[in-house]
Amino acid sequence: MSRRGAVPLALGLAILLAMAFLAVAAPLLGGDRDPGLILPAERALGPSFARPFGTDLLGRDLFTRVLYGARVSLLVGLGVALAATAAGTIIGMIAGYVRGLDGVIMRLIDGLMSIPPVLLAVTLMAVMRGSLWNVIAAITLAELPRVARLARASVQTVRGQIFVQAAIVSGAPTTTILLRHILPNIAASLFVQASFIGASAIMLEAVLSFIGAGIPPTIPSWGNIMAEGRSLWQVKPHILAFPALFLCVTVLGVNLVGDALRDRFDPRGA
Amino acid sequence: MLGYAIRRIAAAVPVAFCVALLVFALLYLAPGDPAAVMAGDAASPADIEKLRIALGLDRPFLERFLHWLAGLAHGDLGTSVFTGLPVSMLIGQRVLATAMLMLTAMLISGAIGIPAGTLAACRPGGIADRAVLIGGVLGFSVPVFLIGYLLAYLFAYRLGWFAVQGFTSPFVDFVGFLRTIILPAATLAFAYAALIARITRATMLEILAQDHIRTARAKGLDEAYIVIVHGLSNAATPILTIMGMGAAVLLGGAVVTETVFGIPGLGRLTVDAVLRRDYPVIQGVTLFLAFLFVAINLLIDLLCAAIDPRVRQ
Repeated sequence: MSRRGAVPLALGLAILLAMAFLAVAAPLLGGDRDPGLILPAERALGPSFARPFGTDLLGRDLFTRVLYGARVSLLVGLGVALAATAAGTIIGMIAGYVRGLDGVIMRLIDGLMSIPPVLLAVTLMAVMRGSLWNVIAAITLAELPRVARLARASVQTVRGQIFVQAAIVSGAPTTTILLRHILPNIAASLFVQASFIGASAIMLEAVLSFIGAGIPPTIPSWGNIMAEGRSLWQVKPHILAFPALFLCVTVLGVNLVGDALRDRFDPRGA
Repeated sequence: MLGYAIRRIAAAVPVAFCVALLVFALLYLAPGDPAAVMAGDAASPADIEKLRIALGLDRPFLERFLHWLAGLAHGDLGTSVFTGLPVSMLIGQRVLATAMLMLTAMLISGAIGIPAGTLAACRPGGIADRAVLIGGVLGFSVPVFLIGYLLAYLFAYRLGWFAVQGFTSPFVDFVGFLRTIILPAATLAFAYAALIARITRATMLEILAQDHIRTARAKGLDEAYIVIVHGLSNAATPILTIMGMGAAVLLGGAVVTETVFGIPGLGRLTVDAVLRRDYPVIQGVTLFLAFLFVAINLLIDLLCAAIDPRVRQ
């Protein structure tokens, strides 16, 4: 890797590691404060030494809540990246390899892609009860078409190559061809795509929770904290600012890693 | 050209049908029971059953889907459970604000993204190039609400240059329209401009390395003339295509931007409908916006074919 790409990659990884550490260590770093502890006497305080991020409208400690929020965001990012990549790859490989199914699958994928991801996820959340797993499921479905398209296109490029033709001629079963010969050759670009999907999923979770259609308000997530700060954003901007900043930095970290991976594995993909 | 147009429109029909099927099926297959959710926690099982029959939810899937499609063909998107008004009427009331928001955002993004991307490609490694690279990463990393609240806090709340909330129609009061639309449009334009700048830069880098550009330079043509006439005109097709695909960013961003700035548009309508579990409205607006997205991309493909004969093949 060139030296030019090394700095952003290191920065991105450092951000993600720091966030992962904060998420795991939230109960320790948050001190003796429970993220749900309500102290009516200490409502909407600004940042101070004892309470670095201040408190929200119910007097809950924002520093503790933002740390716990990192758990939700990282879990959603990782969960969606894995689930959408796995499901999208399977669908895309079938569409790209089995010609008879290609038309039907891709029309459905095109249809799914025509619904903007935010809207699709919001719509799905309207019919499902708000829970962490449902949020992951809704965002996965919204992100899946992009993976399926990429996997299909990659499979179609690889399947024309001589070593795949040789495997077909030698009578290898289709699953062997797909898993042993094709998958390793398209894995790099899928891996890059997965990192961008993780970034987009973290953002999408925040959007869903922000408009009130995501994680239940009892669980502190960055989107939920921002939703609570919405009504007082002019006078108490700190309630919105801290979770937004954490969200920003985390997504930036994932995107930096994704960009670096793309430059390394897949320099032509833009 | 006509042949291409017919083929392209014909290709959009099955996609539109799949969108309709998906929007309907998603709400049908989703694990929750719309009748139970709509009736609320206090409802008895008998109430829920009554509501289910009233909404036609007891009918089989195919019958409900065909019934819904037949309604669509007449422009009937159903009736809002919460307000009792036709969904098509609710959409009609809200569409202007969202259309104005998206158009203004597109104008701002194009005016920033295309020159920035072109300048970046002219001097790889220069200041503009770095700015586009950094702006590209930031554009996709900074959440829409952060930009929105930041702009609103600085320019509307502190400086008072713009309205903090609301929307004024340009046909009623144009100055008032500008005061309400510029901040939300700039908010929405942020990610979109980054996208346009990125693709403009990538496309222009490729084009400026081609032989016909070298020939033009060898002839001694003015560099600005080469970049704009020989370069940008060739980059129009990929830029337009990405702008069409990126319309999804605008439509999704509108949901958040309209919430932040209190704009009575389609995004706000969706959010309100989701919070009230008003299923016919959710279904109708989602379908409308998805069709809008398909139509935008269809128009852009036709525009590309009109500009560039190679696309028609």
